[in-house]
Formats: sequence, C-alpha cells, structure tokens
Amino acid sequence: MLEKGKISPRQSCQLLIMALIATAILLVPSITIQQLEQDAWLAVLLGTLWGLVTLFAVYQLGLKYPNQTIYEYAQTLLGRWPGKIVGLVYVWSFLRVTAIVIREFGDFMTTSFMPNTPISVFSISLIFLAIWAVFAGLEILARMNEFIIILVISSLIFIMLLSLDNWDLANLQPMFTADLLAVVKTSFIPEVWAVDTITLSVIIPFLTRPKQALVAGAFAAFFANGLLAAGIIAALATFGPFLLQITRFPILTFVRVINIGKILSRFEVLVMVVWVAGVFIKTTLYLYCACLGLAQITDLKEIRPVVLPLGVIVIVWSFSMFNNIAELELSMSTPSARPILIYLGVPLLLLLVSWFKEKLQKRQPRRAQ
Amino acid sequence: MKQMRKLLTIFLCLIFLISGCWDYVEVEELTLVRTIAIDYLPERRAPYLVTLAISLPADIAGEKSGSGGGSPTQLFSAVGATLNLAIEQASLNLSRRLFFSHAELILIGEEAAKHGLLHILDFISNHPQVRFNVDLLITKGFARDVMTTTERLEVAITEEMIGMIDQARYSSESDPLQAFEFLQKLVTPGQDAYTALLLKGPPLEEEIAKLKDEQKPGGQEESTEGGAGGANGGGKSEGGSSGSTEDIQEILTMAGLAAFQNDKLVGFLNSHETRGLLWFLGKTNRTFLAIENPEKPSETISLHVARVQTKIKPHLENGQISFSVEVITEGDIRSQTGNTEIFTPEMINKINSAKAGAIKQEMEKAMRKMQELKVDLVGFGTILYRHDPETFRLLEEKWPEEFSKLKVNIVVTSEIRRTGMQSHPARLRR
Repeated sequence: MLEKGKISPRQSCQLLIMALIATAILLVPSITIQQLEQDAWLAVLLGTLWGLVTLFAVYQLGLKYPNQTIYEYAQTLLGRWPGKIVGLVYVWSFLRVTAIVIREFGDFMTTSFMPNTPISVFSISLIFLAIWAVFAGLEILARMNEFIIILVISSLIFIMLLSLDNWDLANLQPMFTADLLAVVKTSFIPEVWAVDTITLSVIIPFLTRPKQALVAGAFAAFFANGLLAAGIIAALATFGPFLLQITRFPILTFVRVINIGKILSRFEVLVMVVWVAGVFIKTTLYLYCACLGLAQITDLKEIRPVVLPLGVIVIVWSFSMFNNIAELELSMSTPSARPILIYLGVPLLLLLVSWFKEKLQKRQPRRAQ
Repeated sequence: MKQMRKLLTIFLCLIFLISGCWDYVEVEELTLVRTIAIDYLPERRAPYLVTLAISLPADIAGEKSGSGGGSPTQLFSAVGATLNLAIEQASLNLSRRLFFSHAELILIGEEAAKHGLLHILDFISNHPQVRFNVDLLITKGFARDVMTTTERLEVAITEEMIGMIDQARYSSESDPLQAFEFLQKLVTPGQDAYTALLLKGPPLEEEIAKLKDEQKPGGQEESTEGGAGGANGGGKSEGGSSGSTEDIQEILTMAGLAAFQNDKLVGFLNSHETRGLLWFLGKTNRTFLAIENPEKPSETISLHVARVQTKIKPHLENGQISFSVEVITEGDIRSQTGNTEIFTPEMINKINSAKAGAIKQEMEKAMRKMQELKVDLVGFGTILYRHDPETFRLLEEKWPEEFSKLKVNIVVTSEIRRTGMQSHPARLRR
C-alpha cells in the first residue's frame, strides 16, 4: 500500500464538502444565473443527482474490490494495459482539475484583491503548499481539513445571515419559468454537478469503515450543493438575476454590499478565507489522487518521486491552459461530453463490467459441476 | 529524500522573498478619495471632467494631522476621454497614491446624466477598489460646483453629504440609491431607474429678504423698514457661519428625484411628486402630511405617517392590463392651526378619509408625471413580469408606450391610531 494512513468516513465527507464548495462558490453562481436567471438554484440542486450516480457506482466498485483504488480495480476488470490507460485518463483529468483550480484562484486574487501582483505568486505558493501536504499524506490532510472546514462553513453561513437585511425575495419571482431542458443542460456543467464525488474512488480503500462511504458522500453532495444553492438564492435576493448576470464573482460582490449600521461591513476578507482555505484543500486532494494514481499505475513503491514532477507540470499547465479569464469562463460554462464520459460513463462502465464478470463466474462453476 | 528537503527549503525561502508585496502601499503614501464628482463637457475630445475630494487617512481616523493642510478636504480636477484617463490626469497633481476603497459618494452632473450613465456605472462595477454600494447622486448643473460648497456642520463636504443621505432616509422627499440598486433598476426589464437630486442654492434667509423686496412697492414705507430690520436680525441670530448678509453662502438641499430612461436623464420629480412615487414603493415611513380640516377648510391639520404598506397587483382583462395599488398607512395627528375639537372618533374618521384622499391625489400626480416622462419608476412592468412572464414578454419592447397609458386603480386605507400628548385642543375663553 502506498498510503499507510486511514481516515474516517466523516473526514472523507468533510474533504468532499470542501472540494465541492471551494470552487463552486466562485464561478458557479455567475454561470448558472447567466443561463437560467432566477431559477439557477434549480440546476445546482439537480446537479447533485448526477453526483450521486457517480458516487453510487464508485461505492459499489469500492465494496466489490476492497482495499483497491480505481487504478487497481480498473486493471483487474479490464486487463492490465487497458486498465492502465483508463487509470492514466483519470490521472490526466485530476491534474487538469488541479490546474484549473489553481488558475481560477490566481485569477480571482489578481482581479479582485491584488491587481498588481503577478498570478504566478499565488499559483506557485499554492502548489508548494499542496505538494508539501501530499508528502504528508491523506490522513494529515483530512485532519487539517477538520479544522479548516469549521472556518469556511461558519464564514459562509455568517455572510448569508448578515445579508438578510438586503434581501428582497420578490427578485426570485417568477419561479420555475426556465426551460426544463436548459436546467438539465446547465446541471451538467462539471462545476455545477457534484462531480468531486469521483475522488471517493481513490479514497474509499483508505476509509476505516468503507461501508459508510455512500452515506458520507451523499451527505457531502447534498450539504455542499445545498449551501451553494442557498448562496445563489441569497445573491439573487440581494441583486436580482439581471444585475447578477453582469458580475463576475457574484458571491464576492454580494458580500461587498453588506453594510449593517455602517459598522458591519467589508466582509470580503471572509470570502478570501473561504477561498484560500478551500482551494488549498481541493488542490491538495486532487493532486494527491493524481500522484497516487501515477504511482500505482507505474507500480512504484512510494508516492514521493512523482509528487514534485506532477506539481511542476500542473503549475505550467495552469499558466498555459487559458490565455485570459474569458477563455477560462467559456470553458467552465460550456457543458461538454468529456467530463460526463470520464466521471459518469467510466465508473458506470466499470460497474457493468464487474457485474457481467460476476454473472460469468457464477455460471462457470455450475457448468464445471 | 534529503535532497528533496533541501530543494523544498530553498524554494520556500524564495517564496518568502518574492511573495505578495506588489500591492503593498504604506498608509502614509495613500490618499483617500471620498467623493468622485463627474461632469460631462460635450463636444470635446476629453469630455469627462472628474473632481476628486481627497482627504488624508489621518483625518478620517480623527487624529489632528500635524501637517498644515488647512481644509481637510482637497479638490483635484482633470479631464479625460474616459473616467480612468481623467483620474490618471488628476493623479499627476498629487504627491500620493489614490485609494478608492473609501469612496462613499459619486456625484453626477446634469450634463453627464443626460449624456448617459453607462460608462460611469461600468467604471464603478468594474473597478476593484470602488465599492458597489457607493451612493449615487445627481446634481442640478455642474457636480463640481456642489463640491466647492462650504461645509456647515461636519468637517468636510463629503461627510455633510453623507449625513444628508442618512437624513433622507428619515423623510420622504427624496430617495438616494446606491450604485448597485440603481444598476439593478436599470438592467431589470419593465423598470426605470432614479436617484436623489442634490440642489445647490441660496439659503432661505436670502429668500426672505427677496420676498420683502417684492412687497416694497405695495406696502407702506415704515413697515418695510421694520421688516428689513427683522430679516437682518434673523440673519444674525442664524449663527456666525453665514457672516454678513452680503456673502450668504449657498447651501445644499436634497429634494426630488432624477428620472432616467435607460441610462439617460429625462426629467426631474419635485419633492411632492417624489413622495407620490414613494407611496407606490412603500417607502414613505416618517413623513408629514397636511390636510384641510374637514370642518373648517381654512384650517390645516398636520399628520405624521409612521408606517406604510403597499401592495401592487396586475389585472389582465380582455387583453387590457391594469394595476390595483393598495396602500395601508398608519400614523398620528401632530398639530392643527385652529382649535377644532378633532380628537373624537367621528372626527378621526373624517380626517382618515381626508388623509386617504390627499395621499391618493399625491400618488395620481406622481403617476401623471411618470407617464408624461414615460419612465416606469415604480416597476409596474417588473411586477407584471413576476406575475405573468409571458404577457410581459409580448409587451417588453413597447413597455414605455404601454406604461404611458396604463390604468392604475389606487385604494388608500388610512388609520390614525393616536393623537399626541394633548387630550383636547386649548379653548379660548373669550
């Protein structure tokens, strides 16, 4: 085993919540509101369902092949080389998510807080922290997250409570006018969809009680997307859909106008706390999943040799992937087949294959008798 | 492994060396922009005239700044083709860096408002420092002229204007909006934007003197002299700030609204029409109403409004759209000019209906004005959209025309709960 630590189902749930919230809170409100106006929160709630499908597939596979990650059971299911290729696809896509998250974070910081600071400062310091944390291992990350999540969730709830003063619920009307097809389409945007449940395919073997992974994952998906929907509703109630369409970071903008009695104002710092902490956890989790995958595919005995190279690749990738923030946003907001295939298709396919294999195995002994 | 550690240590040290100081500025090198006044000079290559009211951080903190600055606020003006260029120009006159996070007010001159606010709102919402909840005010004439007004109660003119905005929320003669509220009204279909109007003019003392002058030809000489003396005396007792009668300073007044169609200023609502509009919006808490005494029309009763609730509902009949507006107000009697016995249930009922009539009249007046200007400041279109999106989508294109002939049915219910500290008006025995 490459990972010696064990985490509890509760810790895995917390990790998932952080991974889901961290990026979602930034761009998702803007993307969904652009598509669906005041019904944006519907897509977020619907998106939870797709995440649950992924979760279910990953959970079933995890129970069938205890103590194996997706990289390992892909090889047992599909054969050595096809399994390795599937594994590499996952490594690639985990790295891609890491790169995008780092880029989003850098763009957010330079746009809204430190316009004169080069983006590389944020990206490089973030990736070094992440590399360090990956070295330390999953258990350490989970334990650290236990502390960070309290900060993040309480700041988010605090912000929403403070904004109650600015709410006008009439802004949410007319409800349910959006086209159903548009809602479904928007809900398939990877950031909207609770896609991070896929990381459980790597984490489940390291759980102390793998059977509780389903409950933990489902709770995380519902909690995170519920909080996100609440955030969207809060922003909508404050600004109305038409003003929100023109803002880049709706949650930040909505926090900036909180002003209670001229004393309770300027809570942008809290958004930054949520962001720095959340993005750090998410980056580390995905980098960890990618590194572990590469180590397992190449049959290494240790995870360490691959961490630093992958970290460097990620940082370069995050710089070169998009030329500007418009490209980033466009790629975020267009639903494409690739994530659906990787995060929904492949786990279901693997589940199907394992199911057939079981049937075959059951039949063969009978014939032998 | 050891090599890795070394490498990591080196990189981490590098991070400390290069990290995040690009945006670091000492407080001593900063100046705080408090107000941005924006004027538009048509037919020029650099039409935007920006005036920045600037103070030093120490003044905000309330410390006495040792440096001899004189007035705590300094004005810096410059012109540019865009606001950013104009600000860049203005900063050439400055010894310190400009900092916009503490800007609280944006004043927009009449000409700039007529030309359109799109660029100004774009500047506000795209700027990382300027806050989305700055207050937006329109001035009659040049915004720069307002900035040169001498402050009367506060330390700086910006504070004075911010105070006036706070006060406006306790009366109902104007309704200053924050930039995001204004922009929200602007981009929401079926709604037009407005914000408060800031006027600069001579104080009332001067007006009194003028009134006396007008009376001169008709009146007797002795009484005129006495009147003039009285006016002077009044001017003196007014306070040291105004000084001698010759250089009476002009003062600021916030009353009325500027109405916009799209992003362009199309007209003004005076303070009565403003209150009429605010009844529609349910924003008239704390205001005074004057009505005729139902028994003796020559006498006036003043009423205080404490609470108001407005419900607007669209009705669609045979393709004809009409709105019903239901206003429920609560309040009490404050004073009367005569001594009629008005504290009886019957009288209160009569006063209630008179008050409801007065309110309805005010609202209809505001409605006529808005229909004349074709600006839907209430947002009837938005209300229709929220109740019946399909119908509104059909009308969206020609909503201003539709609005200008809209039928609105106003029902006002008034309740007077209390009548003040008196139990009966004073009776004159002889």
